[in-house]
Amino acid sequence: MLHDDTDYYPNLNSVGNTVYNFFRLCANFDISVNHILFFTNHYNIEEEIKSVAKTVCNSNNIAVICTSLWADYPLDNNIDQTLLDDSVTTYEALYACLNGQCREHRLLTLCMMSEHRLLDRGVVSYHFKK
Amino acid sequence: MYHGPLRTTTPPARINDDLILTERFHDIMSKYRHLFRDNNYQHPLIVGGSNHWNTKFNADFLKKTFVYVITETVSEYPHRYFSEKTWKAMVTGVPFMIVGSQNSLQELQNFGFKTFNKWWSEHYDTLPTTAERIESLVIELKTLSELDNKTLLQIRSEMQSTINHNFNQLKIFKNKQLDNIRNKI
Repeated sequence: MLHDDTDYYPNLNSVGNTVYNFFRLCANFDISVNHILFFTNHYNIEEEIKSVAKTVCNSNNIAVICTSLWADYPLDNNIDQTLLDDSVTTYEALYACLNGQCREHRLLTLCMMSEHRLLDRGVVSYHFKK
Repeated sequence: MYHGPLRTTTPPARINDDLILTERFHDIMSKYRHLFRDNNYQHPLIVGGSNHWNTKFNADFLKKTFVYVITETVSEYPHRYFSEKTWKAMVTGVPFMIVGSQNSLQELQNFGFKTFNKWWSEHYDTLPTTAERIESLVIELKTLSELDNKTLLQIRSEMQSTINHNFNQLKIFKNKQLDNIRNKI
């Protein structure tokens, strides 16, 4: 089982909806979770997953692997093609800040940059149009 | 056998879409959000679109800037989470700051990467709410904005060994994770 991208939390001390729903579905359909390898790129989530597996599916035998190794991690050839150098002689801007999907923390970052008059010092993008 | 209902994302607040804001942060959001909300903009120096394969991990245009402010996928979030945005900084070889979950930099250090606390305070990463982390990061950036180009280049030169280390660590970290998967399987 691959647990990727964001989960949704009703609050910071709760359990993620995706994780909860996965185990709830397994329980509803009587699917044993004892032989599932649960891959996730959310670090430190093992205890949360194990606790939901125990509570919802009464299982103590779920294997959780936290890893970044999938589409979001560079392949060796991405790295091999790169030549690191420090030959920059001038900077066109102080910072870069690239924003794809609109999320509240990205919006606040840009607002805060504006408040501190830093927006025009950066190479910025945002794609927030719905 | 039916044991209970599934959860939906509505009506409860989704923590990653609903920041914990004090009145002051709320005011700042209200003042500027109309500039960005429902708008698109891309600085002319940027090559490639969002997540374009050619620039997903190695974005040369980033080298024309002193520091990459990474706005990760999640921020008000109980777990550390790293996407291609963070690895892109390491592949491209640029210094970075992260707007992400609390203690993201500490987690990267646990993975064997080095961060940039020798050149600016990374206290921002330890603050409990996203808004506090963002404000503290922007204040660090403000301090850097007062330095001239020559000083920035000097600092960048001092950072080279850290940047080389992170670049090399990408493969070491990959192999470490593969070993971990093999051991668990």
